[in-house]
Amino acid sequence: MKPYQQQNYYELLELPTTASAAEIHSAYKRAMELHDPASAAMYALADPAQIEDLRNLLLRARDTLIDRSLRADYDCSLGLPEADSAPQQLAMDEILWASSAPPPPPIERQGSSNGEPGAPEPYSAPAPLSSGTVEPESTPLNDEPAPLAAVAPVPVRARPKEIPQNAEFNGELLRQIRESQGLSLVQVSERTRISVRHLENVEADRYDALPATVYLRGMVISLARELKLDPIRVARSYLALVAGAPAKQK
Amino acid sequence: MAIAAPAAPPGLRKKRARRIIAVGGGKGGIGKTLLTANLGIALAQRGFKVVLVDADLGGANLHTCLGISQPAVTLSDYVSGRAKKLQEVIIPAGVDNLSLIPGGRDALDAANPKYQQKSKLLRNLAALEVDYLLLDLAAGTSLNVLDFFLMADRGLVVLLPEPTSIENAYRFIRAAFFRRLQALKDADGVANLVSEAMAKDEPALKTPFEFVAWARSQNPAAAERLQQEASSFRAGLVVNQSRSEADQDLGHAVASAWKKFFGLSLDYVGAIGYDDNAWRAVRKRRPLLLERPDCQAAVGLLKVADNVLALDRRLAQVR
Repeated sequence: MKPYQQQNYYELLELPTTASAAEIHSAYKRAMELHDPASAAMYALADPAQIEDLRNLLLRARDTLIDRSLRADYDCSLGLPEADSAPQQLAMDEILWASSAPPPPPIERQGSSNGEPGAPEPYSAPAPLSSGTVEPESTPLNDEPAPLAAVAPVPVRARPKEIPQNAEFNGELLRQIRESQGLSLVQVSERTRISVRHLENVEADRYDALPATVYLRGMVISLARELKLDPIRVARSYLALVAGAPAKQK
Repeated sequence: MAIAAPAAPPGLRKKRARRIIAVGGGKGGIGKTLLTANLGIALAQRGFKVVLVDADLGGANLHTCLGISQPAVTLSDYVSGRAKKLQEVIIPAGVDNLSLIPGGRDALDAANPKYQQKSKLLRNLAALEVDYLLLDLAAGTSLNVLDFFLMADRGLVVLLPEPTSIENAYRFIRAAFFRRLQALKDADGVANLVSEAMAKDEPALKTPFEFVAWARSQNPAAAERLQQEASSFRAGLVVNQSRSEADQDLGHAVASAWKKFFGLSLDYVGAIGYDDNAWRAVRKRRPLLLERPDCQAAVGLLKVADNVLALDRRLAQVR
């Protein structure tokens, strides 16, 4: 179990990684209802800023996962196998997802450590994809998919060049990587729709000048994706730097 | 159904109650006793052998809820040693398959049994040969209450759809979780970390997430153990007196919020609708499921019973 800040988009939406676009939409809608700032359930558990943060992440999760190419990149960053063969890849076609009933997600066990493979499933909730800690009683009643506890460590798409395993992705490194790929700030800006000014601030590590963490996270992820880096790793690294910097705006 | 298997040879007979369910929640008057009594009836009606235990030693009233007048012997008699055997204080509860261990009356000393008495009691309760043992807990988060809650295979927390009650449920489960961690003596360094954290009482350590993260900075191996404890800890959630669809959804919302912000799993096992029949039944000193089995609240209670059974089947399959 992880705090929402560390959950991946599927975990945030409580979806299996095979979820269809229709399922993503309804999970998003449901999650936004459940995590309504006015809900009494949040009382004493989360402050308004956290709830807002979560809601922003949910929105980002939906927007990423319903976009076929963004999702493919994202899946890749998680180390998930290529999903091209998934039958329910309806992706961006709004009409399709709106009108068709979602097919049940195929249950895909990576390492069925619990139970025989042929054992009948007593509940309709999709089996956890996790090969990590087994949570035997995982929410059988709510028709919720079990959370993705730990994605099997499938090797991530080969990283370009000589970036050390433990590299700290500061702005300077990001700039070097961008330049090594022959990309100009303007080109990156056009493709990521992040303004040149923001990109410059990211690369110059001007944390004070950067937008709030929620937005910054999205920006860094887009930038990392553009540079063919692991978006999650880069975002985590960069945001840690921002968080550690003195006098930084939240 | 696994009741009264008379053919089983003595050696193979299970030496303990099949499932112990504790019903708790931070606050008084939220329906713990109503749920215990009627859940017991629902399980008994399905053929399970059930014993209800009024573990609210200071303010027992489970017998009243079942329409039984003040019993001659109670759990207090057993705790204080006046009754030698637990069997002596078990009385029929007016429904087939259902028995009751009534709580004490005004025995203030027995309301806070000593540690040894308590562990003996817990041990002997667990050794009863029944299918389900249901514990009706007192309000509050005293150690006695928490220990009863933690001895159960399944802890159910009742809450009303109002912020105060939700906050109390949150405190209750948090207290139970930390109490469980305190009892971890076997793992190196875990006990130290727990007592250190409890002594600090920093708001930054208020959720299991934060606690585990902090522990990781102190002692990674112990933190791993704590993480396991957090993942394996789960309680069931019952929303009582729900008045709207939004209230029914509240259970899902609380369960989800806990997963995202707190770090413990909750199984939402159902909502009991707000229903005048419920207090009418209490006033008549009749269990709701016997008095008005078709009313809205009774339907909710039956659904809770079904869901508890479903969870147990699931558990049995996994094991």
